[in-house]
Formats: sequence, structure tokens, C-alpha cells
Amino acid sequence: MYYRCMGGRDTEKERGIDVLLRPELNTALTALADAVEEFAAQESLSGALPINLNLVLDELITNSVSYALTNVADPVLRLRLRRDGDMVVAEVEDNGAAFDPFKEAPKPDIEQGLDERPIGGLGVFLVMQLSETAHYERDGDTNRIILQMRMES
Amino acid sequence: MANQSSLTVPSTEQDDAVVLCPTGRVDGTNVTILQGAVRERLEAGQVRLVFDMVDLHYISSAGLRVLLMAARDLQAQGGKAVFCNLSEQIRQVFEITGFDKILAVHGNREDALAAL
Repeated sequence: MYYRCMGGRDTEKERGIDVLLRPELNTALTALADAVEEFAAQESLSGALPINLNLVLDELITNSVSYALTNVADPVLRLRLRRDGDMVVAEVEDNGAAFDPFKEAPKPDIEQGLDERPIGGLGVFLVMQLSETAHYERDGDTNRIILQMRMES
Repeated sequence: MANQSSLTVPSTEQDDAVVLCPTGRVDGTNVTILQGAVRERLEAGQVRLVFDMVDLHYISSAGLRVLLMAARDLQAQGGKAVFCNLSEQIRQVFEITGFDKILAVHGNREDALAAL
């Protein structure tokens, strides 16, 4: 637990989440569920937001662990959650090869029938649909995805 | 600590169909359990399946892919997959991805069995 001094007033518990995840799927998704649970309690998140936050981060972390980080010698996977006004801001970083999922992942055609529907691209599509904003940036050797999700009023 | 990979797939036979009840959460860590439960029925020639989702609380795209492939495989063998009792989260991802239009979704098990 971390504390910071607030200009002479009482100390206030540091808010937000900043964790390194072990890049193994089971461990990483369990740590994700714990992080979302802790953050949801900190910020009193309600309704569908905690489960949707878990889902979009599950999709991003699963992609990082299953694709981006598979051939990286010293894989790094980092999750940050914070609140900014009425938005939840989530960041996922990995040090895999540069990959912008919002540009490069296949886009599902949700109008296609059962037999024609390709099975890929659903995860990234869910991320884009459930997030208010979704950005990718490359920073040195780091892929960073920044999402905003609106808190229910 | 949340048990992320908790998934079981109990099943019962009812009205000449098999009802699968995926229970817990389905994500990339445990999706093979669901896949295996479907394959087992396919291999036994049981191609009329109800997925009763009443005890499934969470599904990611990994699970959606398995449901899509199951519906396709069953149809190819002259059978059918029907779905019922979706939670709010699962109903939402079905709607966003258009799965509610390509899969047969019903409110409860009775209606699902009747639609097979």
C-alpha cells in the first residue's frame, strides 16, 4: 500500500493501478481480474463497466501474450488503470514487435451469415465497440494502447 | 484471488437433444474445455445441442469463436445449436458482434428446445 502527502492535509491512499503482469495467459488474466476488482472498488464502478473493462483488457492482454510477446527474450507486459473525470483510462503496454491492432487486425463483417463469418478479429472489434476512445502508439520498443471508457452517472 | 480459469460444462440429455451448461467464465485459458465438450457430442453423432448459458457469467472473443464454430459444425452435420438464458454481458457481446443474428438465441430452455 502506498501513501502520499497531500499538502499538509491527511494522507490519502494512492489511487489507480499500475502492475507488471507475467506474460503467461492464465497468470496474466487472473492478475487482470484482480486488478479490475481492486480498481472497481477504489472508484466505486457500477453497472456493466467492471465486466466490460475486464473484457476489453482481456482481449488486449490475450493478444499480447499469445502473439506480440511469444518471441521476445525479456517480455514486459504492463497494465495501468486510472480515473480521469468521468472516464476510466486503461493502458496496456508490451515490448513486442510494433503492431497497431486498430489498423492491422482484420475487421469482422458482422452482417455476414453463419457460414461466411470469418472467425478472427472479434476481440479487437469488441475493444473498439466497448471503448469511448481507443488509441495505439509506438514509444521506443513499446506498444501502448490507451483506452477510455465512460463511467455511468 | 479470482479463479480466472474456472469453467465446467455439465450436460444433460433432454427431449432427444443434449443440453450443455457452460458454468463459470470462458476465456482464452479454458476455451479448449468448451471446445472438447462440443467435439465429444459431435463425435457421438449428437448434433442437436442447446447451450444453456444460465450459469455462464463471462465470455471473451475466444469463447465466441468456439460457439461460432460449434454452430457451423453442427449445421454441417445436419444438426443445430440453439442458445438460451444469456446474461446481460453475454447478450451485449452477442449484439455487438452480430451473433444474435446468426445464432439461434432464445429466452429460456423450453423455447430453445422447441426451436431445435
